[in-house]
Amino acid sequence: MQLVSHKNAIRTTVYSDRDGRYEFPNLEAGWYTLRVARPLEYKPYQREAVWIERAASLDEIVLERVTDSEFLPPTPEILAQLTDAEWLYNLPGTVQEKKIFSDTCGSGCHNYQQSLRDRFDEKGWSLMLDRMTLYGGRLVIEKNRPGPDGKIPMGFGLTEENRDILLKFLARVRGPQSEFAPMKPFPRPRGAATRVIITEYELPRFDVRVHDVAGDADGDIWYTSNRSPIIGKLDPRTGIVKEYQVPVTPGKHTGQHWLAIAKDGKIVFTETWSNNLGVLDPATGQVTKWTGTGGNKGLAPDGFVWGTCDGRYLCKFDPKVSAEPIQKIPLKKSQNTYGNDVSEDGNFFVGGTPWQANFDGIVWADLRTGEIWEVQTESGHADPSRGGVDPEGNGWNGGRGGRITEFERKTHRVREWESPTPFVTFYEAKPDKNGEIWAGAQRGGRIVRFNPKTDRWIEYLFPEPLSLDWRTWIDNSTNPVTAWYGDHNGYIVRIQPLE
Amino acid sequence: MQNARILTMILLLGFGAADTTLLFSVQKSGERGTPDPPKGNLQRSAEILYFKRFAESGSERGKEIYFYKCWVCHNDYTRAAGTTAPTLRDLYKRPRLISGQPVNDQTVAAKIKTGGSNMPGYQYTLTEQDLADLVSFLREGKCCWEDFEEKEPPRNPRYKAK
Repeated sequence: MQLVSHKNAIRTTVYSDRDGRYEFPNLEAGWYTLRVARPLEYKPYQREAVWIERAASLDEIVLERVTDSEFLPPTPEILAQLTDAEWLYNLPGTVQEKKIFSDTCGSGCHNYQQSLRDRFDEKGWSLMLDRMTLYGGRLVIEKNRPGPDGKIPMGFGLTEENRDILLKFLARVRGPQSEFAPMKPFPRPRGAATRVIITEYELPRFDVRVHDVAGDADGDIWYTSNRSPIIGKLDPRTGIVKEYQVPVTPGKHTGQHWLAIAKDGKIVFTETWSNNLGVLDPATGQVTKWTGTGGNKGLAPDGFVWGTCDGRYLCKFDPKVSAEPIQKIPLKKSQNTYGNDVSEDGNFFVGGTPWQANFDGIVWADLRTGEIWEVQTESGHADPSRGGVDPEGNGWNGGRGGRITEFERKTHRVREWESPTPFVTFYEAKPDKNGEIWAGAQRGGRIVRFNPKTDRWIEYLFPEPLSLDWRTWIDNSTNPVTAWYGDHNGYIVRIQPLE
Repeated sequence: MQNARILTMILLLGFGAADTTLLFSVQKSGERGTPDPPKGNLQRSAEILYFKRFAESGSERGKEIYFYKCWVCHNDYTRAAGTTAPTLRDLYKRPRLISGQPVNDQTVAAKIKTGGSNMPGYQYTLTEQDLADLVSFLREGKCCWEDFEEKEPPRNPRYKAK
């Protein structure tokens, strides 16, 4: 059930237990819209205006089913409520075809529905595949550089054989005459997965494409916009957002990527498309940018920034001075990691290397000694990307191959866990203070909480079927911890587990 | 038809529920001001899937369709990097399409539907309404995203925190 504030549009969602009971947290007195988010097999329910003040109980709600069948008619309303993973699960085709689709089209920066709502003939799908795999980056602006054989390499580790399988799959299941069959949704949340409060905050603008979020000492949440020159600060108490302008680099698309908050309160960030390292002073709004390094980085408590550079080094940067590395540690196997994270104490580094043909692996480093481990994943198909370091120094990464990976500090082994929900992908993972791992299950409309000590997964389902989560930020000051992420589709989400 | 029954209860978490007076409030009191419910479809995913965040129809909706379906190949950045797709800026000010046909709603819609040697045909993907909205966006000269919206993204009317 969801309450949407008429005052500030903040949405608060809670989940009913097995008896249909639900409880909202203490909310500011005011008018709210009460609705069922994602009613799926039930007809929509919405009450436009409900006055909420202190503790109150509301009338019983009786929802009417859309159908007696367990398969839901693929109406526009129901299709829009299903997650990407549910779409893919319900399409005809082999698991191999769907996994190749997931590994390729779920590795990048759009949801599955953006592709699967379309219908093309084989020529049309072939052109789409060329555009999406032969051009680089999230904006697919520039063609990939030719390899030693003179051919343009395909992105996402796609092989010629798999491209052929993928093309035939798309042309068959989303060809000109294709129709959606009745759909079976995944199970609704049960047990611990219902004991959570999800809060969604509106942002002032559409299409800013939120990328990273991080909280500051005042409890505000900062975010980067991947497709616009705006860095924002959300006050979760009021929902008010303050925007900071980032100067535009002429000739380059605007937008940032990584963001972290330094001890002095300054915002350290990178710009994706103009390849800049930047610092924003919140007190003045002044932005300093250094050209030469972008993408993901890790901020150490001493203010230095770590990341890989030049194709074969782990590099240290001083964001106060320039984007030139001030220290370079050679790597043997990895040609740049995608994620670059530093432990809270500054002692350890971890990064993952997705799509590298000869090394699907983890780079872990002890930054005090310069000791480096580069270890292949078990499956070779994890595509580990962004992550973090747990309190024991183990490195964790989310894998675009639908797996979460761990580099175990004591044994130097890499282990991996596959998502319990099929066809989701992980772009990142973040350990909390208790050693539990949080990761946005992209294309699954959920965030997972994985306890490696018990192998227990809790999947918190969102009120929207969307979950393009590029960076989860954990607020370790609360008990239980609170997770935050900014959805690519333009809103910020807080996840408050009740246990 | 089986129906689902949901018992509703709103409680203060962390507050002694047994001591709490349960209130059911309705829209009567003048002190409460006027309800101002959020507009549009509150299932965001539906607005996104059907390109209805900016508008239900017309050139504003066409802008969203353009952004998702056309911008990737027709933007200035990728053309500067060598992509051959032409800009769609001021399309209706040109005398002819590359094909030699005159520029009007019918020929533009037909081109979108059938595609070309490097462009997929969208006749099975876009509905007639989608095409009409997209064409009106192009006709009204509001293209292209990088001229304005990239730097000043459209305002979200649902954002109302003050």
